[in-house]
Amino acid sequence: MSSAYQYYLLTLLVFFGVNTIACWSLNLQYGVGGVMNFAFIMFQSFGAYLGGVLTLGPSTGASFQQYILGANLPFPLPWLLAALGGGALAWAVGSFALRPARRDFQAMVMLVVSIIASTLVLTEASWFNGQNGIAVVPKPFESRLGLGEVQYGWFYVGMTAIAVLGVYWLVHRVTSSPWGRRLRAMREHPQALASLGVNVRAESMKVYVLGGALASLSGAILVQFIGAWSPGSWSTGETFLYFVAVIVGGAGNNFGAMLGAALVLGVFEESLRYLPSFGYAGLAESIQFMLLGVLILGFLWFRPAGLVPERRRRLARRGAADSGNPLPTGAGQQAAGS
Amino acid sequence: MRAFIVGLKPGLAVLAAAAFAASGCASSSSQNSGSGSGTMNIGVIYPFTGANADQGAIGMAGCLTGAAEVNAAGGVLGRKFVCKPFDTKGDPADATTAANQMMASASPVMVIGASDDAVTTAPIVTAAHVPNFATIGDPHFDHQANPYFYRITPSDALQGVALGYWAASHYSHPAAVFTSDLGAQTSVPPLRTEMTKLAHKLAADVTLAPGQSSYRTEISKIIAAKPDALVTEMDPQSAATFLSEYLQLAGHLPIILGTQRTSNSDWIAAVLGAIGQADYVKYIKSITPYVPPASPSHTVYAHWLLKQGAVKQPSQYLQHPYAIADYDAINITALAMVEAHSTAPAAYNKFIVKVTAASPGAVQVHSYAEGLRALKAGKTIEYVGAGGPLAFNQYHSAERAFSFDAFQAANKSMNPVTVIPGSALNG
Amino acid sequence: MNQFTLAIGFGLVTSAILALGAVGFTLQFGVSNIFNLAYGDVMTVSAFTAYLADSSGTGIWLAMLVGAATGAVVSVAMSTLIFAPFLRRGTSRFTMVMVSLALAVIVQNAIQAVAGAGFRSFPESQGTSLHLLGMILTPFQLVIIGVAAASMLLLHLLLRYTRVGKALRATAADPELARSSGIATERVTAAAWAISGALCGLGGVTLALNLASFDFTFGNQFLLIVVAAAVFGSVGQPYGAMVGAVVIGMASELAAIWTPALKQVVAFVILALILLIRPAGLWRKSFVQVDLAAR
Repeated sequence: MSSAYQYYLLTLLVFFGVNTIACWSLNLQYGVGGVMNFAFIMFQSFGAYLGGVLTLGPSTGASFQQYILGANLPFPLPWLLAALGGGALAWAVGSFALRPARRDFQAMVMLVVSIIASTLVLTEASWFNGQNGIAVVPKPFESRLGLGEVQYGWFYVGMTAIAVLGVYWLVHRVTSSPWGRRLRAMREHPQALASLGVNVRAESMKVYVLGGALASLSGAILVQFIGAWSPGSWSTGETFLYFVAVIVGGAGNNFGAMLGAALVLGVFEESLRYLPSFGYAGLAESIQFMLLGVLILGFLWFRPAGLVPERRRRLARRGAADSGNPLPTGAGQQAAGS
Repeated sequence: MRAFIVGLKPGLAVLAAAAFAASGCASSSSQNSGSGSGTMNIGVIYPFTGANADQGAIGMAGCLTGAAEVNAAGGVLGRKFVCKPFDTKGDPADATTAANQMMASASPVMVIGASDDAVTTAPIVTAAHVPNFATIGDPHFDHQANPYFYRITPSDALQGVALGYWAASHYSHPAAVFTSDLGAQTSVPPLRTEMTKLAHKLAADVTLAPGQSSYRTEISKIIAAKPDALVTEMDPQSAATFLSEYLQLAGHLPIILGTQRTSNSDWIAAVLGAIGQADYVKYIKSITPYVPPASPSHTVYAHWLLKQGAVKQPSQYLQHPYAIADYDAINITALAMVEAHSTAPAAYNKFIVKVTAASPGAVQVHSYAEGLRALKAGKTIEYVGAGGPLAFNQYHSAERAFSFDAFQAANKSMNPVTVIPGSALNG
Repeated sequence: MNQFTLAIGFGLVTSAILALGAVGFTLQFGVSNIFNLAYGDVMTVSAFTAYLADSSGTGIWLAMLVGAATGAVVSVAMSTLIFAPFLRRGTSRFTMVMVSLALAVIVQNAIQAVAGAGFRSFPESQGTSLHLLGMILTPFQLVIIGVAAASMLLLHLLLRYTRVGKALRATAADPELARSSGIATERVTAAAWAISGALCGLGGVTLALNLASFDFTFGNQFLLIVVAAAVFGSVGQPYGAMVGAVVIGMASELAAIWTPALKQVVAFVILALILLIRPAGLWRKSFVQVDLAAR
């Protein structure tokens, strides 16, 4: 396989790894914990920016790139600090966004925060270089290893894979633990759990912070591979694209989230590039986007519970029966969607 | 059904990617080395969707025109150019994938693009030892050292200096009005520095939020400062709204001094519709990379551009600096290939600077056909592009002059009125 | 000239356009509990058809009617052809947001494919500015304010005094009860989408007029602030949306006096503050039980 193809393939693999971590993070917050994090893309972006400016040297302004920090830290510190930073940001946002009792109100506040954040980053160029974003972020170990482009690329795929495995271990432990079961119960019946003495807000905060940390980690991994990050990468609509990926794959379970990442963010978007170009410039591309919308609609229609519906656990089934809801395919999605 | 889905291996994406790779391998028809019959791909990597979708159209216009001219003269060593578009969607992540897909599936012999995303795409292209001609103004590239990278439009930093230079020498109370995105960062600091250097002050310095439905409050404040000119760069939507509201509130406009963004047809269309042609001609000016309006090269360019049926309204690109730069890049590539007697990128790359350099005894040529004849006759050539002479400095940046442009209704474009030589800006 | 009164005058225009958009959006939510992210693109479509009408010589008034009609037709079509079938299958409210998102992608790119990426402008000029009470407004802006005010009044009369309006309110408050009482809820739903769609179309046309030039993305860009106004006044509650439009519109114009670059941020910060104090929005009694989460 030619080196160009190898590079293409390994780019797709890194993106898949990053999207998987991101989808697991969102799945943790929304699919398991029921928190509708409408500010999701802000966390991934924060991790990308933070990871980038921590890896870069101090901002000299000479290359007309101004940013804060610039600590020139060695790997893996940028990744770790980005994750910590994401958790901290989640804690800060969650401390007021999670105050309303209802999920949709929380979602609204988070969405507004995300919009404010993106406008501020765009306007305050001294933070993260505004519209142009940060660039020439060095890749970890690149000079030390002295590998060729493609070999280094595979090395990075390996590092991403290790990160994915690590995150999977963490996420799996959470979702199969008693805490995970409690989160799921809280997702379905927050009032009932509250009356049993569970501090719903604290539990939501915990899962929000954990998810925020993981989302930021995914951003850091991505930025060190691409080498650049700018507001174009984190429009508010990206949050919804991740939600679509998680829902199409199957919210509430890790395999479904990963499948959604592969399908919506990988296969759909990439395969649409291969449609032949015709007509005037931009026509084929806008049709590609339309097809993406049609594909999403199709999946939501034919597989509303997601490709991998959540395994019905005993507790949830009893809860669903109590509330009088029947259990056709819609219910799995309802449960995951509530 | 469910069992089938659950049984899918987690390596789904790997399989999918491999499938793409395999299918791409099979369908790729271009060869990448030596001579022979067939076609050669030129990668055109720009945003074709999203906020900057017009850049894709501009790039394709330049590429198709250049390819048509070269192919009509017989192609290069018997092979013809084909332009292949790739969409960066305007963000670094998608740009990276697009660049990789381009290199893998099209094996281009030369790449034009990207604009702002060149920071991520150019390394991918040049790592494969393929020349990349970019129209990115980001000052990052002012001192770059990669031998395969060529910048064919001036740096934004220089644009800011040119704006300041002109504003300070022609207006007594200029005000700076920029939207918070765009060149607001890369053009404004050098603008301010230049104004200070020339001992001149800005009557007002305002940053606007882009895409608002109303700028009237901001405008009434600016009007109160009584500027005689506005130095500005805005996206077409904001510009249309801002300028029409300014016109309503003040009854007239000050001189609007824009950047090369003002040369884009979408900007022209938006503002023309908003304020009408009479006011447009009177007030809208710009400082842009200088394109000689009439030259033998430009005649050839115009001839082939207007024949391109796949380009929507080709006349809008007659004076467009970026389309012209992309066209020139194709001719330069073709001539370098001829001189190198090879279409392999690694072989012809070193001749790119040579065919554009003004060396003593070099014959000036104005098209591929002319250059081909001269090279066959054993002469040294200097390609003078439709955008004027393209001298690449040691950093492979084309040193271009700027010009002060005004709108002409005849060709619905900005046309040069006064040339600002590079020496005026460096001093 | 007092900056403050000037800003108030300008804010009135912004609020008028925002009111048309926000009330339509909130009506759609009120009657079907759908957070319709394709709303902005319907505004765009309506503006384009109005532009087509105006350019072929119908004049601006008829063009506005064409725009309103387009908005109504497209909204009803979206509701009956896409949203209703999904709802009948028991799709969760949250997934409906995803459905509307997919629809938004389709509509916006369809507009681009058909109309291209270029800009259009309505041929009418805005007229010379008038100075009234310390504000500067053109006749056209007065028309926009008038159209918005008239629409709000008509809507109010409709909701209060007509059978359709009462049926709308009943259906929104409790669909099952309304159905069992003999109100044809499907027809009421269609009527609600038609009315809200008409407002959406009018909002699109007035916005396009105000922007002086528009392309295929302008409606979607405006959606954010429309949602902000609707949520501010409790999504689902049309009177709340009117209040939200005035507050958000005024706030952003007044903020422009001090921080032009951050004027939208100020509006969103105000929204965030309100949501923290009153999570359901300003209007305590919502038009319908707002429940994105449950069925």
